[in-house]
Amino acid sequence: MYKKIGVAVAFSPNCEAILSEAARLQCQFDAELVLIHVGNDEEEEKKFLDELVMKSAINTARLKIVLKKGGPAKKILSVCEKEKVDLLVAGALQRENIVKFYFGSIARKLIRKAKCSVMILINPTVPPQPFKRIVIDGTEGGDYTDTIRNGIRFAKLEKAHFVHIFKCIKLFGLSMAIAGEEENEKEQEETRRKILADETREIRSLLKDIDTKGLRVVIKVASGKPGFELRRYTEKVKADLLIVRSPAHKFNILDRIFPHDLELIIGDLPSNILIDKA
Amino acid sequence: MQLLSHNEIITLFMQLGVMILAARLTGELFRKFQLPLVIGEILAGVLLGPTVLGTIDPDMFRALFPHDGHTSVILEGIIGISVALLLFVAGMEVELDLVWQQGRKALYTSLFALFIPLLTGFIISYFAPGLFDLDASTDRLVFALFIGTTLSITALPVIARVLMDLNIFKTDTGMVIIASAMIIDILGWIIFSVILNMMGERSEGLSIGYTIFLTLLFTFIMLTIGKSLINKLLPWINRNFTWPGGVLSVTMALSFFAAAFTEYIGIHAIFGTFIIGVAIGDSEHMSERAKEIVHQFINNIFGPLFFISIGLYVNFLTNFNLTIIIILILLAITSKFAGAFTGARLGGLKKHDALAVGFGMNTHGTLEVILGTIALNSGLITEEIFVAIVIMVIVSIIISAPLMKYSLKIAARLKEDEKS
Repeated sequence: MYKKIGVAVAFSPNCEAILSEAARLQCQFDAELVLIHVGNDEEEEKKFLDELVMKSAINTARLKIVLKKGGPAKKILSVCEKEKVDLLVAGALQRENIVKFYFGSIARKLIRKAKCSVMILINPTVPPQPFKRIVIDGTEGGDYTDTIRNGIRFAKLEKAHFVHIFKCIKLFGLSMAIAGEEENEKEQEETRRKILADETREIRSLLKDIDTKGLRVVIKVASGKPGFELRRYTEKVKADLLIVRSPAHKFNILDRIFPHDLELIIGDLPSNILIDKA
Repeated sequence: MQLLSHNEIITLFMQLGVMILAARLTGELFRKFQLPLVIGEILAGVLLGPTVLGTIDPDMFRALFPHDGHTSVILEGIIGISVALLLFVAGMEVELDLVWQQGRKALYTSLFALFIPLLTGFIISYFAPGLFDLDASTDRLVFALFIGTTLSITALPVIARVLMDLNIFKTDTGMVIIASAMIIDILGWIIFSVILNMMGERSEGLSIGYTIFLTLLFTFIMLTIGKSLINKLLPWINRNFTWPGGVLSVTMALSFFAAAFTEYIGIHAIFGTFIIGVAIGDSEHMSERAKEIVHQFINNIFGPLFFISIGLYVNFLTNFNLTIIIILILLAITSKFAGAFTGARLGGLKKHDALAVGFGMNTHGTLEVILGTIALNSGLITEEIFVAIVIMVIVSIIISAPLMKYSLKIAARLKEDEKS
């Protein structure tokens, strides 16, 4: 799936754990690793980084370390593009306060601007743990079928216990409101039931073409605001990884002033998250 | 304190009962013929108003709907509340998420589908006011802007219903149409509230620039700060108050406050309820079920009261001017199609999809009637033009489904051609 994995390392309390997770992913995907650190004093930092790598289980034969000076998010992204990284891994604090929400923390900047897939880990551990309960965003739009396909593939690699595919019905309220003006009580119940059944069937037929052997797949259909409901569901099933598709366009300040889907999730991450650039 | 007399109380309750029941009966009759309830409701007003009842039995008409006295003032107040609440529901139907998702396509489609009819309507009615039998005392600029705005609005509920009936509601084309209609709703009401202010007495009214500034500022603040405050408030209400009682009373109260506030700063009250409707509807804590309750309550009690009132004060037969009606209908259809088609093409849609979008955006609905009622009450338009607008709306609602079906057929053929 991922041939080259970039890892953003800051010297934070959890940097050791991030590296241990990175080592696990490297092994999982049999991938090359690029460690990216943005700081000031190159010599001392390189030494510290080397020590960290030594302590971790990273395969150093397939490792490259890049040190940069400047604005962290911008530098990390430019390295990713130059090295043709297809998955970027970084750590993040779980919750953003309101000031940070508008100015943006580094991890969230990476999500908003990256051209590759991004995985944000909110509680990496030593030793690393594979993901056991995975929620995949199955709401229609963009390349959502690819997201489901990639998500299932990833879940199989991880040997996950549960995979939930969560789908939000678009414009459910408007559909029911209009049904309310045309139909009597019984017909409306029928319409409501039919909408739910149709959405579930769509996902089922999609899954037919995907190999899900050995996975327990749960399909959940709901109404409401997609991003918000997805986050709530992820919390409810205590998932440890949420897989969503990456937005069609790069996010700008407008998307934050009028937050929607992805912004609603990354403002308050419910779990680790993988934004898949299908 | 002034009190209603015994007879006035009887009249008022009779009015309300008759109006709601008549609207329901004719509405259901129309439903049997697969037509929207709202057309039946408007027609019920025509039956109860001067057009039919007033002509057949003038005494009974005057006894039921007296033109002066306390009851008429109270009824007008109730109808005013109904309009404001209808706008609240219209606002709640807007889904900003969807608008962002559709992005460029929806933006181009809506801008062109809004401004081309607006310009066409404006230019024609400004330079050829004779077409509308405009009398010399009317403010030509405001009138032309009004006609332009009337043509520019697309009715979201009408188009949603058509798309659903044709089973293309959730296709990409359907989503572009819905998102564009939502953008037009917001922009159309911003423009309209500015025009309303220009209609008002100039000495009292604010300057145009100031009104535009206030309208935009109010919209922006409500959709950012206002929305996030609502987002904080609603979960608290859901936790601490009974459900759905708590959320219903609080949202109603908020919408009345917004109406009072916009009226106070000099924009029309209904703009306040519309924008707060958008803000509340967009909150993730306003559950679909709560929305449904508000929707049912307003659309089945207050909606009919307003739609029936349309026919109560105007004689549709004596004010029937075929020329104006035909001009309006032609202008509405051609300019809307041209605008939406061009916009969809520029937004990156294929020709066959753009065609479907062009026809799809071609629906007018209740908002135009609300606009017309306010313009009629403020003396901007004649009863003839008002009647023409109502008929244009009814015609557009009736033809929208067949027209869309036809356009899908052409679109399918075009798609084949594009392939081969």
